[in-house]
Amino acid sequence: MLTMCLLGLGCAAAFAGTAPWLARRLPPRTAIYLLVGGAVLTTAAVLSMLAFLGATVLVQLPLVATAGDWSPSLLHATDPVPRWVAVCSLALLPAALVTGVAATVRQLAAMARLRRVCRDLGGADGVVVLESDRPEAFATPAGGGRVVVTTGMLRCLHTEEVRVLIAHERSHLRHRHTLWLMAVQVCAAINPLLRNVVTAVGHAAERWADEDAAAAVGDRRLVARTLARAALHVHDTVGCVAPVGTLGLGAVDSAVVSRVRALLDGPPRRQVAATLALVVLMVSALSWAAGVQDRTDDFFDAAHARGVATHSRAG
Amino acid sequence: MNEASQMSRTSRINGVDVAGQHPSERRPAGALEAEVLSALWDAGVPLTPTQLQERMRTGLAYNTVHTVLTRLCDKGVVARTRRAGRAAYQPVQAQVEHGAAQLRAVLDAARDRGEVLRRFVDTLTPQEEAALRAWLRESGD
Repeated sequence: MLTMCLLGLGCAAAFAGTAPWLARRLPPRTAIYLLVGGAVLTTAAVLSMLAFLGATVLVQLPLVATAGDWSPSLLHATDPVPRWVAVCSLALLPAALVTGVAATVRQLAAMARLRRVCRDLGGADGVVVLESDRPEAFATPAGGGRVVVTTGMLRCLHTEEVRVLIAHERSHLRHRHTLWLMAVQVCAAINPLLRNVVTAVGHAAERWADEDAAAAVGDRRLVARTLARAALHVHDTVGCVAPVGTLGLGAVDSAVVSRVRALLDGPPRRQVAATLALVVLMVSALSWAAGVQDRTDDFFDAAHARGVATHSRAG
Repeated sequence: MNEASQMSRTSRINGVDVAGQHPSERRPAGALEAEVLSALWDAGVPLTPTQLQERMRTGLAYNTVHTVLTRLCDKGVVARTRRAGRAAYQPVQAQVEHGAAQLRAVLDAARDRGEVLRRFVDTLTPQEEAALRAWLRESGD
C-alpha cells in the first residue's frame, strides 16, 4: 500500500514537473484543458491518498474502533502502513484543505472587490476607455466582463492594432480564462509543486487569446507586431519600475517574446506524444489512488468481519 | 453615478444604432470608441466624420461614427473644431487624468490577488526589449 502511495505521489509530482514543459508544445486550448484537468485530478489523487493513509490510524483510536465494531488488536496486527506515515498524512490533510479553502475565499474576495470597482466604470458588456497616460490594457470578468484600455495605450497603437488588442482581450472573457486560472491556483495552493503549472496556464491563456485575435483579423504578423509595439511602449513609459498591480505572471518567462515567436511560427499543430504523456501521468496518479483506496477498504473489511465474529462469540 | 448611468444609456442607444445598420458587425460601443480615438491619433490632424469613416475602412455607418465622436466629445477626450466650414474632431491631450483614479482603483483591487484580470502584455527584460526592437526594425515598421 505504501508503494502504491509512493507511485501515486510520484506520478503527481512528475505531472507537476513535466506539464509546463510539455504544454509549450501543445496548441494553447489543448494545453489549458490538460494542465487544469491534470492539476485538479492529481490534487484530488494526492488528497484522497492522504485521507486513506490517515484513516488507517484514525480507525485504531479506541472510540472509533468501538463505534465501527472494529477489533483494535486485529487492526494493529494487520496495519499496512507505518504509524508515523499515517499520522503525518492525518496532520497534512486538514492543513491542505484549509489552504485550499483559504485560496478559494481569497480569489472570490478579489473578484468581489474588482466587481465593486468595475461597477463605477460604466460601459457594461463592452470596452471601457479610460483617460490616462499610463499604457494599460486588460480584461477582467468582473461585472459581466470588461475590457479596460487607457488612452495611453491607444495612442501608441494604429487602428488595426487596436482591433487586435480588443479581439485578444475579448477572447479572454469569452473563454473564461480567469476561471481556469482560479482553479489551477487553488490546486497550487494545496500542492505547491503545481506553481509552475499556474505560470504555464497563464501563458497558454495568452497564446489562446493571441490565436483568437489572429483569426479575428486574419493576420498573424499583425498580431505579433501589435504585441511587440505595445510591450515596448509599456516598457518605455513605465520603464523598469514594477507596474502597479504586477501579477507576476510571465514577468520572468519571456512571455511576450515567446508569444511573438509562436505567432510567426504559424498555427499550432496537434502533438499526440505530448498530449498522451500528460494524460498517462494524470490517469496513473488517479489509478494508484484508486489502488490505495482498495487496499484501505480491504484492511477495514478484514478487521471488521473478524471483529464482529469475536464480538458475537464473546456475547 | 449620474455620469455612469448616462454613459450606459448612450451605449445602449448606440448598440441599437450599430445593430440596426450593420447586423453582422455588431461591436461593443467601447471598442468603437477605442478604434475611433486611435484613428484620430494616427491622422494627427482634425478629421470630419466622413474622413474618419474613410480612414477606418470598416464599413461603419456615418451615424455610428458621428455618435461615437459625440460621446467622446461629451467625455472630454475629443475636441470639436471647424475645418473648411465643417465640424472636425481631434483628440485632446490629456491635461488632467480623469481615468487615472479609476484605473488605480481597478489595479489596486487586483494587486497581488492572482489572476482576476488578464494584462495584454507583460514587462520586458533588457534582452527581450532588444530582441523585439531588432525584429520590428527588420520587419520594416
